[in-house]
Amino acid sequence: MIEDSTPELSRQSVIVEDDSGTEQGKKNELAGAPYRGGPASHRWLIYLALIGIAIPFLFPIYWLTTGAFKTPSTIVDVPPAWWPVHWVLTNFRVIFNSGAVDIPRYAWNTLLMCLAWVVAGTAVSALIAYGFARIEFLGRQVLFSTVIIVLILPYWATIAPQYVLFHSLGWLNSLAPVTAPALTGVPFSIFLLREFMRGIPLEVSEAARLDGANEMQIFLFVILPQLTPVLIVTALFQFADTYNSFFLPLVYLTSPANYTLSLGIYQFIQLHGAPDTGAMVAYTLLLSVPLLFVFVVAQKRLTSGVKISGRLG
Amino acid sequence: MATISFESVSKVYANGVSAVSDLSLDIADGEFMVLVGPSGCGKTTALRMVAGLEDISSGVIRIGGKIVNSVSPRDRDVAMVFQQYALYPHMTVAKNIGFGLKLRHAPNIPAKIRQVAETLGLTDVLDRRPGQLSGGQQQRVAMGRAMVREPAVFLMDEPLSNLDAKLRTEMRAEVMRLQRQLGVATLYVTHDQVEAMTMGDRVAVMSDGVLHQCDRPQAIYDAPRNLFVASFIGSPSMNTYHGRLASTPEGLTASIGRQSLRLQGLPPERASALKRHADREIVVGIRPEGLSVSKGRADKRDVLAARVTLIEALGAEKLLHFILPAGEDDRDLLKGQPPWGLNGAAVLPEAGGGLPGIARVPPEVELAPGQATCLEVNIGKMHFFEPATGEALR
Repeated sequence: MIEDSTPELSRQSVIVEDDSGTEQGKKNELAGAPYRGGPASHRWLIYLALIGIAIPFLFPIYWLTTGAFKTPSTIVDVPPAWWPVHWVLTNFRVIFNSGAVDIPRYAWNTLLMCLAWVVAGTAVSALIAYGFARIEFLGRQVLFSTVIIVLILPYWATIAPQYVLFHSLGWLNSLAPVTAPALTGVPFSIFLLREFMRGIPLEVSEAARLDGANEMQIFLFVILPQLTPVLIVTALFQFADTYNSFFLPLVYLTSPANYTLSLGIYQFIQLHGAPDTGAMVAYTLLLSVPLLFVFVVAQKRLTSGVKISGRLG
Repeated sequence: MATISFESVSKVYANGVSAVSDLSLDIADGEFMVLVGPSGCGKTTALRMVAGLEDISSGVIRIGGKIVNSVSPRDRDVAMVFQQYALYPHMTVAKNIGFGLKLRHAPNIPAKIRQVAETLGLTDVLDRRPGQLSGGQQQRVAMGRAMVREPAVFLMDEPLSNLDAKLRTEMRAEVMRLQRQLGVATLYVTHDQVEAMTMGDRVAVMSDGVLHQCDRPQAIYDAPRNLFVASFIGSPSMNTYHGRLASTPEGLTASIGRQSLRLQGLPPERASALKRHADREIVVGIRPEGLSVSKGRADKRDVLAARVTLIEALGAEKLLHFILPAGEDDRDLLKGQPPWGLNGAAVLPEAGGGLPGIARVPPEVELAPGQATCLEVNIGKMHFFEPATGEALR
């Protein structure tokens, strides 16, 4: 039996004397403690700065929440009412009782759209990224540069030719234009996943090749499992992007039966001949609940994935 | 189990760099062949060509007599241990070892994994991931992954280079034991000539893509074919000096700097071979163990006067760093003075230049830096090389 001279990483606990009450013990504790921003006075300054940064991000959520429960007349008051005088459910009643929005149908359409982009879009992006990262072929760099250019182009630059294409295919006013493009991958995801894959040592793929794996098996069994944190990040961001998508559904989905949840807000613009601001605010609040829920649940995965992708980027 | 054969194999990259030039080498079934050379000499490229991970520019590689130039890596029945181990980080040790078997739908996978784990002392860590293992354990998992497939050929690319010195020594013996046990032709690449000398049945010395010599380790050590092999193999390196071979009435002499050595006691065939190069410039090579501290006079004709510059005490021996003086006057200073254990002996004046060297001496030698000494040369162990080509003169 060979004994390693290098220490083995194990989960065995190390027994030390309890010196927590001693001066040296306190020094030892501080020496091993994580950095907490320095002395207490400096720490408060940092907290203050963080609060200052957080306010612009939190303010819309506060305004949305309080606005959803205000009476319609007080929502647009000037000066604004910072807190509802009376908390009412009027706006929510308009959403559910007016018949203006078919939430179950809109939710189903949104689900289909999100599934397409999250599942198919992420899977296809991973496959394309693998090709760019690991397979030598003629024109690889040119094609990848094209992906980057598409990434940089704003979508309204491509909307006209896209519209013509989908019109010629007879796809207008169906979910096809807002789901099928997922099968061509997502440029940002392709870029991110490619960079991550390039960080995986080539020898790991070579070892798999010698073990008998073909290219698809290397992708599925060796590369993809190592991408889990980044895949989760790309999937979450894709979900958020798709869920909030308004412009493309607005262009391609002309019939309310095909509307997505984000388009539902459109229904309150001319509900009773005038925009119903209260209903719009309450609807927006309702719309953001699933997204917040997903991000809260996936928060840990998201932060670790962002850290990893940031390190490798 | 199979043989490996390189037949005039070359590898030239797209940018014109020639990594391997006209390599011809045969590795017998069950043989442990070590490819050794400095970084960038082409040894890893040669190994990767056998694995199929590099294309072959010209020539033929055979495994088990079959040409494998265009055979994919997965079909060559070779197993490789990489320098950085290349373990699958998301899989447990058991899954790492069994991955190749799973892909090939081999029977009795758990039993095979367990057997290999027992052989390599990995049974306690089968459920751990590579990130939770020490370097030595990772290396053994890499070995296990190669062994479990029972391949025809083992390829090892500097598998011990990431281990600390103590573990490297232990694993060297372990690798050799396993290879003997398995009896599989093994091509082992290393830049460490100690590994090469201790592990290989034969050693192939390469530099700049060219194979210089392939022979048993001791044969390479005793009879290097050229200056490169002579300097690369052996630690410390062979001491080499430009000199001149002269034929005198008393016999052949070799001059080194301002000193000369009478080449007495050479085997007759060697002496007559050297005579053909008399009165020509040569390169003289003396291994550190070919020098000993002389108790005789400095004017003896197989003794070199030297000045000690550094002593390295290694416990079982000492490495004596010295300078051969440049001026004839320096040698006169030592006439009549015993060099061993000198007290207040004359220190040679600073010579311009001087020829450095290292001698391997017993631990009881007591010399200090700056001290003069005489080094007796084992004439029979001297090596001579042609200066223009570096080829050994035989």
